[in-house]
Amino acid sequence: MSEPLLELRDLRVRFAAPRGGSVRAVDGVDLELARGESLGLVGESGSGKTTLARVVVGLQRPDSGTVKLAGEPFGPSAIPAQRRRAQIVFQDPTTSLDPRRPVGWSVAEPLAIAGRLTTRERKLRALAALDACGLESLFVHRYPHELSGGQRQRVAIARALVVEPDLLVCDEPTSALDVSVRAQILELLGELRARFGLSLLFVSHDLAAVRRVCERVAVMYLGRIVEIGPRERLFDAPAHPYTRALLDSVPGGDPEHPRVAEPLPGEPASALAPPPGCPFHPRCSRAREVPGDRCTRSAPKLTPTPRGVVSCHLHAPR
Amino acid sequence: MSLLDVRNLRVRFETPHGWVQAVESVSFDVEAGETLAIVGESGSGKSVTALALLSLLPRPPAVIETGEAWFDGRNLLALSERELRGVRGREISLVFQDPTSSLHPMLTVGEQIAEVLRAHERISSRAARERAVEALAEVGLADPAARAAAYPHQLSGGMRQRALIAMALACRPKLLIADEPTTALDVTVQAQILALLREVQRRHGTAIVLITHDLALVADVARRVHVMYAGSIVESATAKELFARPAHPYSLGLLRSVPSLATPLDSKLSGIPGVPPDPRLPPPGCAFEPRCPFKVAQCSSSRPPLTAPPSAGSAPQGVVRVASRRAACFESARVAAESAR
Repeated sequence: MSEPLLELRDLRVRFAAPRGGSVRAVDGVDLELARGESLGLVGESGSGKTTLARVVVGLQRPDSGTVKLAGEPFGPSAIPAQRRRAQIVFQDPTTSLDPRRPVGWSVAEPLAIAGRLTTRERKLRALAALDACGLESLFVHRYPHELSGGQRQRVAIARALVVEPDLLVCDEPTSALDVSVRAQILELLGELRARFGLSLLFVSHDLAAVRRVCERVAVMYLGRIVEIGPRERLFDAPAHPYTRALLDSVPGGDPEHPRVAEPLPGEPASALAPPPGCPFHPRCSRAREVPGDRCTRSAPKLTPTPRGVVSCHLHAPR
Repeated sequence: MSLLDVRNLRVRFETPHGWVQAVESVSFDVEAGETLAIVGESGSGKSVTALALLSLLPRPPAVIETGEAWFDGRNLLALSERELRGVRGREISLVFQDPTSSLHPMLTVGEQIAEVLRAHERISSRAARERAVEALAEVGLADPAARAAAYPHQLSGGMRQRALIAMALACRPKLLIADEPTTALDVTVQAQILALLREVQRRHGTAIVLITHDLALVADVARRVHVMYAGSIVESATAKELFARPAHPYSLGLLRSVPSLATPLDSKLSGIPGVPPDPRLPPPGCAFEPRCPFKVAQCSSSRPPLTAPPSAGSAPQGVVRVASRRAACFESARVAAESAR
């Protein structure tokens, strides 16, 4: 197998809590992403998915572990030519674009940092990036407040693409948008990936959107990946009880078969004081099926099992 | 007789750039004990409609031009501020999207619920505190006495939303208006809050008006749905009718925009091209005309009324046409035929 584009090994990020102690936002994550692959990262707020995304693009320095991009070590201190290879699109384009600059300026700005291009070349590249994102050249002179939410998000994507990255990280790229616009952005991401051979790390709590866009999906819970697998397997036959509960929580969109059950009681445990053993066991409906209190005593490891790559004692080989 | 009967509500805002018509002749009714959903995107007027009913819009800039809202024999829009205070929180309660900004950060959750009770009932502060703890227990919060003593920042988002629902229900209102009650929450907590609302309704017969942009959520909880676009109701139907056979192109577009876990992966999501009209410069005809794939010549000049769609001729045998079904579209028969495919 060829070398993966992105390789994370035993990544850990810890944040100091205001009143002492620390939060393990990312707690030992191993992850690989192949060239051209799209990987979805799902989980609830506080699961560490955004922190992981920020580490991947070098906005957050990990406390330990390694990030490699195309075989080279990668992080906040990587040289600009290397940093260029991983770009990020944030949730809210209203706050991620400079309100006082025309969007053409914002799209061209990364080129001024990353390369040695003339002003004219920068302008042409910005136009091409906007065009790839479905915005005509007249948008160059517009200001963010003159655009709709969907158009602003297209500008944010164009700005990420303008430096021709290998990896595009999208952190909840459709959550701040109106429903009728979300579909367009999802379709655009699919087109861009096919056209430029981009790898995509798609961070979202919207499972239906992840299913549309991503070939492989990783589920995070309290800083750890608890299950990872190909889209078809993960959505059709989730192995981890948490993945099952997440899928059951998604509204059905079918009034003939309304979802009535409350799929998962409680809320994630505090990341300040994660429970001993499996971090999910206090909410897990199946913990009692595992003999010998293993769920409360030892943390399961992410391992390949007949049901998929999952960290759950239910499926662990005995 | 319906619990709430809203007739011809029109609201506009005065802005530095001129008048903006936020709500344009909206009429609907809510039956006792039912769940009604009002669906629309940002700027559709769905929240303004709800706020106008309880006179919670700042005036100016808002102006309620026309409208009546009959609730229990009284027109809410004609009540004095003093009379309204007796209605809000006691007979009609509101729950907003963001529980963080709806709760007072410097008061404990219990104090805030007790305050609502004491505003509406002659009750000692001690009894009010006890009732507050009961209200928190009722919405499924574990250890309610401890939660009552907590400040909002000490609770998680899901717990805050439960506390807010407890406060809204403390006086047993007949109607609960929930404006995007789960939008800020994680999916698992969202499912919990929806289950809670259903449980509350089953137990107390509370009518619920659910205001949301999320059609998938509507499918799970609402019996009837009004779809709003650019300040008007463009389609009214039962949830089952709407999902099976939308009769307005905007409803159809919305349904085709939203992927569900069951959407085939090879189907293309269409979305809706374009953007809603600038509310300062509404088009003379149908507001959806510029984005509409079904438009015909008359759409750009005259505005279609909200009427029962003409029988498409192919209604399956044995299906009873529900008289409440309405769509504001000249081509609704064609839309319904297309959407049935």
